Amino acid sequence: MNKIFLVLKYEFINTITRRSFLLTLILVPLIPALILGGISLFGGEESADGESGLFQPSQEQLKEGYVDQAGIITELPEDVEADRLVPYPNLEAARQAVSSGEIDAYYLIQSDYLQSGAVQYVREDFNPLAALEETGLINYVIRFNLLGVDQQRFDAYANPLEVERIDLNPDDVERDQSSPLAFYVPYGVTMLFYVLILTSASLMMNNVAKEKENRVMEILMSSIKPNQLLAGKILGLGLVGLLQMILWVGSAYLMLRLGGSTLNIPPSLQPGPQVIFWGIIFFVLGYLIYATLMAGVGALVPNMKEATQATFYIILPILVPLFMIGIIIDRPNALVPVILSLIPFTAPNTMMTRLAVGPVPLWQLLTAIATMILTVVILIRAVAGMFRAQLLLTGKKFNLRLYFKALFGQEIETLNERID
Amino acid sequence: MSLVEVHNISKRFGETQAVDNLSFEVRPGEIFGLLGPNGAGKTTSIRMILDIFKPDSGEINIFGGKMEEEKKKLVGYLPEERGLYQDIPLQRCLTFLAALKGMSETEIAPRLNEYLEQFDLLEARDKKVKELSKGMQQKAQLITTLIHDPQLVIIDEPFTSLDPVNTEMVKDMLEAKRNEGKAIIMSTHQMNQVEELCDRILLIDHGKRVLYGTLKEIQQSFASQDVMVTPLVDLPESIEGVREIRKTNGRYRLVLEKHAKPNLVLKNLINNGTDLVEFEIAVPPLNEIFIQVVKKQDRGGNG
Repeated sequence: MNKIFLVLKYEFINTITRRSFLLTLILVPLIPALILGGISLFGGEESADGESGLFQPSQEQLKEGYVDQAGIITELPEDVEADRLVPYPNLEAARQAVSSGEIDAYYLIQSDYLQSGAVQYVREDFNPLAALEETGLINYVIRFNLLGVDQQRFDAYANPLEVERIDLNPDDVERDQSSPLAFYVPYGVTMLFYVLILTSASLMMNNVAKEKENRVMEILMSSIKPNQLLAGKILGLGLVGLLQMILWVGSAYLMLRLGGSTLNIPPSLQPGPQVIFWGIIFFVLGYLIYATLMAGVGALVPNMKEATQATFYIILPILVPLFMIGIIIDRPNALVPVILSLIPFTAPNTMMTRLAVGPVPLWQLLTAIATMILTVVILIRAVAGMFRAQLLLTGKKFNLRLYFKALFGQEIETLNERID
Repeated sequence: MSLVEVHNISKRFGETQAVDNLSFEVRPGEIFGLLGPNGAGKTTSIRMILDIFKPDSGEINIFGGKMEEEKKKLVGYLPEERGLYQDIPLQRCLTFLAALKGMSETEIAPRLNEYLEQFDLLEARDKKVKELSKGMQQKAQLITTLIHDPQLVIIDEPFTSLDPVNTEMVKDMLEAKRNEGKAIIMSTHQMNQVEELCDRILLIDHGKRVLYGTLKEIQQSFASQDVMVTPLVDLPESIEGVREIRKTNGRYRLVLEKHAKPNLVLKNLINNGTDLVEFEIAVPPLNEIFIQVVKKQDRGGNG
C-alpha cells in the first residue's frame, strides 16, 4: 500500500511540475477566455441584436441607392434607415450621386424584374467579394415589398415555424433549437471531454513506455511489484487528470456564466451544474478505461515511438461519438445515441454530449456507469496480467492481435523473449 | 548460514533454456563472483533471486526463506542495463528510488548528501539526469544500489564507465561492505577484478554450473605442474626433475617431469647454489581458465 502511495505521489508531482503540462493546463482555458474578453471589449456593446460587431464589419457605413424601374419598392421597412438606401428616379441621377460620392453604390432593379429577377449592382471600386456579400439589405427590402409591405407577414415568412418542442418527459428542458449555439455548446462540452480523457490516458502510455525506454523498469522491479506500480500510476495520473478537468471545466463554466451575455447564450442552452457532477463520474470511469488500455500498450511495446503508433487503435472507439456528434446533438434520445451512451468505450463522451443537450433518463446514466465499472474491473485485471516483469523488461513492435490476445488473458508466449 | 540459497532452479523462455538446474549459495561476508559468457543465464539467475522472475522449477531461499516485500529493502541491485529517470533532477530521482527501498525522507536526505559528496555529484544534484555524463550516471546508479545499506548487494559490471580513481573507490566500498559482514554478488567480465575482489566464484555456461568454489581452489585445480622462478643469476642448463626451461620476461617457467614434485625442484636448485628471488607454483590466470572452460563447454555442448 505504502509503495502504491509513493508511486502515486511521485507521478503526480512529476507530471504537474513538467513545463509542457503546466503550459497546456493554463493555455487551454486562457485562449478562449482571451477571445471572449476581446469580443466583449471591442465588439459586444456596439450591436443591438446581440451579435458581435466584430463579425459584421464596415458595410454598415456603406450608403447605397436604387433605381426601381420595375416599381416594386413602395416603402422601406421601419428598421432600415432612410439614408442607407436612397431612391433615385433614373440612372442619370444615381450615377451622378455615385460620382459625387453621395452614395457608394446603387442597385438597378430592371423593368422586367418580376419575370427575370434581374438586378444590377453598380459601384465605383469594383470588389467582387464585397458585391456578393452586400446584397443583404436590398434583398430584405425587395422581399418586404413583394410581401405587401407588412412587417408581421414578413417576419412570419422569414421564420415560418416557431417550434415549441413538447416532450412527454416532463424533465425535458425547452431548447432553442434554432440557435446555432444549440449545437456548439454540446459540441464544446464533447470536445473538451474528449481531449481530457485522451490527454490523461496518453500520459499513462507515455509514462510506461518511457520507463521502459529509460530502462528504469528493472530497478523498479527490484523494489516493487508490477501491480503496485500499475496501481500507483493509474491513481497518480488519474489525480492529474482530475485536477486538469476541474481547472478546465471550472474555467469553461465560469466563462459561460460570465461571458454568457457576451455570446448571448440563453440560459436554457447552458449546461447546468448537474452536467459537472455527472461529468466527474464519467471522466473518472472513461479515464480508467482508456488509461488502463494505454498502460497495456505501454507494457507491450519497447519504446515511445511504437507506443505512439499504437495509440490510434486504442482511441478508435472514443472517436465514434465524435463522428456522429451531429446526430447525437440533434436527437439525443434516439436509439443510436442511447446505445452509444451505454457501450462502455463510447459511453463517456456520448453521455456527456447528451447531458449537455438536456437531461438523460436516470436509468440510462446508471446503466452506463454500471457497464463502465464492470469494464474497468475486467480491464485492470487483464492489464495487470500484462504488467509482468517478462513483458516490462522486453517489448516488441506493437501487434494489435497480440494485444487483444493478452487483453483476453491469453499467455503471450511469443513475446517471452530471451532476456539474458 | 547462507544469505542466498539457490536449489536446482531452471527457467525457460520459449525455445531457450536460460537457466538449467542451477544451485549455489552466497554467504555473508563474501564477494561472490557470478561469471559466464554472454547469454549464459547470469542476468536471468539474478532476476530470479530478486523475485523479478519466477523460476519454472527449483527453489530460492533468501535471508532464510522466500522473497518477501520486506526483504526487498535488504537488497541493493545494480542491473546491467543501467536506467534512471532521465527528465527529472538527479536528487528527486535518487530520493524516489531510495523511498521505494523503504527509507523515510528524513533518513534519505543526510545519507544522500554523504553519497553525493563522496561520488563528487553534489553540484549535479539539481541537474536533470539526462544532462549528466555516462560516468556520473553510473555513479548515481551505484548510490541507488547502496544508499539503503543493503545486506545483500547484487551488482552487474560495477566498474564500466568509471575512471581508475572511482574504480578504486567503488572497490574500497565493496570491500568495506564485505568486512561489515554483508554479501556481494558481482557479475563481471573483468577477470582481473574478480581475482582481486572475489572470495568464491560460480561460472555458468548455457545456464549450467561449470565451476563453483573458492577462487583459490579453482585456480589450484587448474594449476599445471609448472613452477615460476626468478633467479639472481642464470639458471643451470639442466635441473633434476625439470623437463623444459622457458624464459619469459626475466622469469623462467620450469615444466616439470611427470612425477617430479615442486618441493624437490626447489631443493635441487638450492643444492646447486642458485640464488632465488622468487619461486612459485604457476597459477593460471582466471582469464585463461574462463576461456579454457567455456571453449571446452562449447565443444562438449555442440557434440
